[in-house]
Amino acid sequence: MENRIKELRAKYDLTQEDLARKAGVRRETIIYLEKGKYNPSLDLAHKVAKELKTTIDELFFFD
Amino acid sequence: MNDKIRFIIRVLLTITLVAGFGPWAFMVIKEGRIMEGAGIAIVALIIAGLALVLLKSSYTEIKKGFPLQDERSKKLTTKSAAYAFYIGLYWLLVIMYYSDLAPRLGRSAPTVDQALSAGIAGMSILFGLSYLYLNRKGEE
Repeated sequence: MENRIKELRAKYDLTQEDLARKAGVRRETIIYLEKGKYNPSLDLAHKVAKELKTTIDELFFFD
Repeated sequence: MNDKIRFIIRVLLTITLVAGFGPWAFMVIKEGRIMEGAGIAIVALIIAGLALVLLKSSYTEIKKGFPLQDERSKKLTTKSAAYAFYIGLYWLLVIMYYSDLAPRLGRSAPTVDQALSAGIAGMSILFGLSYLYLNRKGEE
């Protein structure tokens, strides 16, 4: 599963730390999410999408 | 449970664990088993050192406003524990086999204390190694 987290983070000038803090998770979780090495729960996917002002469908996708 | 309370519990557990090694090493050395006592003391120091590094890192994270655990770290801990358990069963079989084999090799069989210690130490190491491996590997 791929994602646009890094792209949208850059758009809203958010660091991984900022996004982790807003989503209520550890920094490593955002790092691994971005790399596609972690599949988030629906709850976390929703929180991250909300912070990046997008929807889950727009943020995560399968190749 | 509040992250600060969780952190304090971790500190207390670490102190209890490390402090427990002190009297144990002392008793073993008093019985004349100097090498074994020294080994126990060294293990205690290593655990204390590692614990200090991890606790310091946890404290820094809490100060910065990050949670002590999240869904990923909980998942990792659970999976690592499962790995440690399954592989640990084989480790216990190895210890049992060695206990049986040792007299035939002209060595004394390990005592119950030694076998238990080896079992617990092995499973702890397996847990740590599993955590590191699963953390690096990720979910692919």
